[in-house]
Amino acid sequence: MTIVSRGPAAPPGFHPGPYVAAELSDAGHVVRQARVVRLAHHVASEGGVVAVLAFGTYFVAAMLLDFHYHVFPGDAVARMANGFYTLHSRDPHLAAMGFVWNPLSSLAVLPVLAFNSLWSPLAANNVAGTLVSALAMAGAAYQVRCIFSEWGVATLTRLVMVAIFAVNPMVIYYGGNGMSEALYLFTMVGTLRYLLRWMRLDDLRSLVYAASFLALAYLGRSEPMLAAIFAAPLVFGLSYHRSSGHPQVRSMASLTDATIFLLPIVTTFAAWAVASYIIVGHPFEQLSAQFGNTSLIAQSGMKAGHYGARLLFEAKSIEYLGPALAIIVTLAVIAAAYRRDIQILAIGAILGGGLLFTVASYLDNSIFPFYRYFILVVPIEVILVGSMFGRPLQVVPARPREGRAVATPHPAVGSPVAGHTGAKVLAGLGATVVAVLLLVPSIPATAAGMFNPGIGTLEVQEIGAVFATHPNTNQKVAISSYKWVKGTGASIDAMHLPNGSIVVNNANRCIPELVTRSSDPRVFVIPNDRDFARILADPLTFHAHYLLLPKPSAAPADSIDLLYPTLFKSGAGISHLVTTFPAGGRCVEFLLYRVTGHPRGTY
Amino acid sequence: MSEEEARLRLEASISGLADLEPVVSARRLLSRGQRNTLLGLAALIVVGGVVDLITTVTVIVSIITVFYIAAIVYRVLLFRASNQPGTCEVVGDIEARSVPDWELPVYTVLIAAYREPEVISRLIQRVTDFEYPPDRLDIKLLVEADDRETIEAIGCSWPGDQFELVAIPPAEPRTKPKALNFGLGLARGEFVAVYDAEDEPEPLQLRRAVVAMRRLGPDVACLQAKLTYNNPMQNLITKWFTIEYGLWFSFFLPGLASMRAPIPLGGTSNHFRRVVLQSTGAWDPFNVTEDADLGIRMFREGYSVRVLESTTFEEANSDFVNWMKQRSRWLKGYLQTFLVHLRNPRELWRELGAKGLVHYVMFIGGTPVLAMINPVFWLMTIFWFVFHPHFIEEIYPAPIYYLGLASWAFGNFLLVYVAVMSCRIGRRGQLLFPALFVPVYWVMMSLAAVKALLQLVGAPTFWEKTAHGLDTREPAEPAEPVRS
Repeated sequence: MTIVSRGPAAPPGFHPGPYVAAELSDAGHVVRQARVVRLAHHVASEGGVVAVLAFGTYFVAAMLLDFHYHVFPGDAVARMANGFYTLHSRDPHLAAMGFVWNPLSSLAVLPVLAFNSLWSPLAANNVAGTLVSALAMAGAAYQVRCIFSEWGVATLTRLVMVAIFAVNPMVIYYGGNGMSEALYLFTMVGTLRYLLRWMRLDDLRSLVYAASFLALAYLGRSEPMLAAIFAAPLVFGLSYHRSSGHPQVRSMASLTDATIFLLPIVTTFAAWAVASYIIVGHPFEQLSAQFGNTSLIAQSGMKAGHYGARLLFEAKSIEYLGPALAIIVTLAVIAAAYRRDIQILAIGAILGGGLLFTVASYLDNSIFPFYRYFILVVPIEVILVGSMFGRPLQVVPARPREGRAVATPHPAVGSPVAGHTGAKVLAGLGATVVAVLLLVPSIPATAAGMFNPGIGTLEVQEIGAVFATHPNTNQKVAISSYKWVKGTGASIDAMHLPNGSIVVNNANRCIPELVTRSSDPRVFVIPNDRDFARILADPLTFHAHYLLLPKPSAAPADSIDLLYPTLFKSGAGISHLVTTFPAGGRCVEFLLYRVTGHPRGTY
Repeated sequence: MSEEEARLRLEASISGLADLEPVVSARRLLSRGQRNTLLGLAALIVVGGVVDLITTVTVIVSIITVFYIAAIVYRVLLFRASNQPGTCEVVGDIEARSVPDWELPVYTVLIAAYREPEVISRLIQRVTDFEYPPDRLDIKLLVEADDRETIEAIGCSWPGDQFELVAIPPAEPRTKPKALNFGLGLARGEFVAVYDAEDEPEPLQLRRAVVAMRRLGPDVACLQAKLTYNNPMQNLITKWFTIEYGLWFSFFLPGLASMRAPIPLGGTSNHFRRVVLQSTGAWDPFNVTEDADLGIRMFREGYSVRVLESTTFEEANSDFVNWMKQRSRWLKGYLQTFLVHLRNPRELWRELGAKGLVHYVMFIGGTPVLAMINPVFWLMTIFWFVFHPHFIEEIYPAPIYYLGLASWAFGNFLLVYVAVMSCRIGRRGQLLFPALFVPVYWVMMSLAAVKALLQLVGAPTFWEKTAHGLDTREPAEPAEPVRS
């Protein structure tokens, strides 16, 4: 048995390694190498243009929303703030990043935040998060393009499909708002690209890259775990199929390949759990926090709904993001079956695995019903369509001479090697028309989902007002929150307090924004500080003169009123209410207490 | 050869380099400048320790941590570079065989054997298998004249005219470089290859080397063929050793070659241009890794070393004590080499360039030094997790702590990961599990490093002979055919 890749052996941008070079050393290797180099230059320029255009679009759009419309997703600020605390809080240390969220978004902004003292909007307006998102989303567009070009999809078809992906409204919005979606798409599509390359070329480097992308993806989100579980058997099976010799030798060879694929993500998983256990005493803080979401969902007023309702929400979200997904999946599966193309298995394992994790998590009621969680539908649609026009990879019965990939004269549709020019142009045009017909409806449909309050809950609150002539309260949530943060921040700044004056729990909404926008973030004592518990136990001794906490009826109990349950009623005998900051947008009402005495038993 | 001639040749073989170019010989371990610098440094540490112990230790720990990070980054760069086109000189079978016999030069093959009668007959058989016209082969079996058993073994299986038994007058040091120098003085070939007695070179290797050398031109002084083991499955040590060789020949050596870095040679399956070898002073008998030293010396003289895509099978050391002897000799030799060439740092900088110097420090110096300090840091890590002692917190300021944490987590992962990769590249899937437990092998390596350090101080030029022929099984086929 052997694997047959149709078309030219070396795809654009592929540098032959020593073993491939060995094969090229015969006559004609100079010509072939020159061709590879030329193609590499060509690819670099086209890919470069795609990446730069995408980055520019996402960054400018995000800056406009940020500075002109004052839109900033609170969760994005919270992730960026986790990075911010490690550098600019009262107690800068790495563990200040916390273990509730996967750390990639927070880690990625660190190099940018290092320059915050030069330009404070990096944190205050989350420009750092925007930069990272825009780079990552541009990277995702670039990877999509690379998948197509490595498949040999004709230039026009390829560029049109990449453009359809890149201008999807969710891609544009999440390509600049600092949320984890951009990194998620980048790492998942990157994993897929290199896994496909490994399937085609059987080169170690691609497998290592795929594995590294997958581990990075896990540092960003939990979904890639399922992708890993689905893709590992594929790696094992294909590797077994390709190896030769005694079954035991073959099993060990394929087990080695599967280990190379899994070791980074398994190590990341273990290292993160161990670090979390050592520092906060719980190995799976992010998971336990996710399970905690059920209570948060109840408190947030969102009805979790029964099983059927959740399924309906999922179906609707997927339908808005990819209205033709069902048709595309059907067509792609038929095409793959017809052409005996095994690459569709990788798409299913990586992107399908990620999406299935989301679907299962929400059915399990362990995540919020957010439209953004389903964003993987966008690349799934585009890449599946591309797979129909790309060069297939087949598993065929072995030929007498083992080991050589046999090129057959059936190249990719519209690819440069197909037939004569007229047919080539026609095939390319036909493919492009089909791609447009299948994919373009997703653009308006995605937008409709974003502005449907039942689907795009967050998006309506965040950017609803930007596009509405007479925005309602829900659509103004982000803008009202911005006003709350600005007003509250100004009041606190005006108090000109020294370092470590206000004890506050930054797990509360709007507090990360308050801290990162503050003229001096070190005024706040937050749970990420290693001396938080000590200070909270007796604030006055440590010159922490204020306690800032949400009105108990408006938010889940935080560490302050857990320690001082009578604070709200009687000031817990150590403080009195100084002022209240009325609710605004997603920020609830906050109360500021002045500490006047020591708790009993502390002195 | 008259007795007088033999005596003169012997003298030249032993102290030729040390007399003519004492500055590049390891006969003396340290130059005066080096000794003073080391003493000064020690004094500085002592004074610093007395004045402010914590700050002194913090500074030392910080420097080492940064060095660790640099070493990891360096290895990642080597890995990246190892896959670039043109890292190995590839000569296909057809091309190698296409050179007519009359166009082939005389090729000298030097094989040093000392008290190894058991491997002689196998050796002669394999060397006879070379696809090279016998009348153009000049094979010298270098044996100490008082090594009766080996000489008798050669006599019993006397092969052919292309072989010549060279009996070296008995004298200390009884080392391989001395024997090689003696043999080189008698060599007739345009090219000189060096093999160990237990080696199994691939039959086309000499032809490939000739084609590659002619293609590359006179600046390339040496080709290093790839080495691998023929007894990987003998026991756990040979499994780990095979993995390590896989790493060396799949990643590090091609990486160094592609980055045009100075390459420490591997002691066997080296193919030299004889004239260059002689003009650079050949092997230093006082250096216990004379091969590594020679590679660096050639680079300093402006020559380069390339990797030849051709495999020689060797016997992996399967006995713990024997392995320990061999490894500590290698690590000691690297340190010797490192010190010898650092005697005049300014000149070294001029000859190697900034990049070459970085390679030199990271690879030649870094390999033994890291192996030596690894156990200290491992113990500190275990101590930290178990007891959380306050002093460790004190000597690790935040940035260094994070760097240390990153290098500990990422560095250890990376080294296990590349070990697994090397199984894949060498097509030896059966080594997967030993690869996953390769950190145990690092412990062995660190023990050897400590032994090397002690020996460097006590007996710097003492050569610990590695016993061969411990693999008594019939030679087995490798798991899958190795491409050449």
